[in-house]
Amino acid sequence: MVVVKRFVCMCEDVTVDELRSVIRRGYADIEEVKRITGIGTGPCQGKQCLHLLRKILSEETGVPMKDVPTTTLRPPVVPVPFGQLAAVEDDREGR
Amino acid sequence: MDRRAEIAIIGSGVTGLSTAYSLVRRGTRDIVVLESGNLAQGASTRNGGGIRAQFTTDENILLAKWSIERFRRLAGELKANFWFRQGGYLFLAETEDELAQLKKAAEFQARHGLGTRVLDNTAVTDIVPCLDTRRFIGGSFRQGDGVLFPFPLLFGYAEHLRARGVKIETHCEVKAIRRTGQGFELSTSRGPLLAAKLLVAAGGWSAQVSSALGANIPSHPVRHQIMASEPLAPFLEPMVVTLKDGFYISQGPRGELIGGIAEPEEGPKSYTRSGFDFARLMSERIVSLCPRMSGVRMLRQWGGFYDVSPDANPILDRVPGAEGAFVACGFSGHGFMISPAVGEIMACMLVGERPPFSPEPYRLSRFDSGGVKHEGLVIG
Ligand SMILES: Cc1cc2nc3c(=O)[nH]c(=O)nc-3n(C[C@H](O)[C@H](O)[C@H](O)COP(=O)(O)OP(=O)(O)OC[C@H]3O[C@@H](n4cnc5c(N)ncnc54)[C@H](O)[C@@H]3O)c2cc1C
Repeated sequence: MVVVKRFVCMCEDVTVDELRSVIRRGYADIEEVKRITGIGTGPCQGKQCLHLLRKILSEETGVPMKDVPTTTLRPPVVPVPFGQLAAVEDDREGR
Repeated sequence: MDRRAEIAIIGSGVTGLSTAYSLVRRGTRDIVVLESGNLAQGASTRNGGGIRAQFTTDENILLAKWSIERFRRLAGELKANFWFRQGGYLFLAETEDELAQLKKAAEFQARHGLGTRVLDNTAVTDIVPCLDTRRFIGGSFRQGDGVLFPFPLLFGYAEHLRARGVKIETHCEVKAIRRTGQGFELSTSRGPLLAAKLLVAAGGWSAQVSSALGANIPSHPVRHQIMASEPLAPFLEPMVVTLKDGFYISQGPRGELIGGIAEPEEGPKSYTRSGFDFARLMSERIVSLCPRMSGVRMLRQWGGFYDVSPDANPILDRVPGAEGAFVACGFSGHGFMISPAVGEIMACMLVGERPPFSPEPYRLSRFDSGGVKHEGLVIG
């Protein structure tokens, strides 16, 4: 037996089949797909997978690619160590 | 006009969905849930997933205890794995005053059989070894508290409800409400809907939505931020909370650290905006409490609303002056953990049954009599 798994999101282990089945269960909204599967919320923060997700959403729902939104981008855009964030000086007055 | 329902619920957050779940258990299925955005887009998919019974009022302890028992069964009933892990809640005290506060809370909680233990620093680091003991002098711990992963619970509710005929309409904002002889006519972004009864479960928007019924609900939205780190191997069993600054942190099912901290209240702000001040404040606290974490990377931060009431306790009541309309809001940052009990109470109110708990302490009239008891353990 050959097991074929095509991964879209390497950080959160989300496959093409999983995405299609979630969308077919009625979750056609990109934020819902994100919350159900975790896609785009791992260390790369969607930089590798979001476009593929939008393409699959477009194929499944018939909505043109340009009209499929992206998910909300969350800061920090790249992962930043706590130690580095903590060391930023607070230069505003009155603190 | 053909859209009608026995009961309309405004808001698909955990309050609206758990009420629908309790209604369906009672055999009521003619329900429409209206949601302005995507499913459960409000606080319910933006929170820390903390579940605890360590409170300082009888009312909150009763609701939380009942809810913890329901959470334990719910995964099986919904066939949804939401990773409820009873790894405990560890409160840390930095001063003698704070420790005295925790002792008093533990004694109070003993009356409800919660088994909360007051700990010295050695006992604290037995539970979480990586903590820097220079930062606190003791704490309190209760094993039965814990964390869960909100998304699968909400999606589990939604699928369970839809399979039983409940309609959940997303991207359907309620814009106006008119009282008719038989109930309510709702104007929504997808056309009108008639409902005999109505529940406002709109989180931070509840006061605004209720004002469409002419009611003045004394709760208001306050933005709270939260963040997640990169995934780590499991090392943190309990939710850790510091009394001083409303800091909380736990390890989620994917290994990520999830946590937040109280910030100065800043007035109304778009809740989706994240601020750098939060990232710094949070990081400073993590590094001071647990220096080994300084190399761990923050992945994402986001914001949501606490719907804050004058005594930090929920408002569960009829909407004054609007027979057949009810409101459940004002959860003040602990609405997820008590949502099963709240759903049960609201379902009873909607169908005219006696709730398993006396609804008196949650009524709006408590604010008139002035005898309110503020919850002492509010986090974040
Ligand atoms: C950062 C953060 C951390 C938290 N941590 C915890 C925790 O650890 N434990 C805990 O128990 N609680 C926690 N909370 C609180 C908890 O998330 C909330 O109390 C709870 O989710 C409230 O659920 P709700 O259903 O009442 O409101 P919401 O989840 O906000 O749902 C209300 C819904 O109503 C919809 N709506 C609003 N207006 C309209 C309209 N006009 N028409 C249609 N729909 C409308 C909104 O879009 C929203 O989806 C936290 C909250 C935040 C923000």
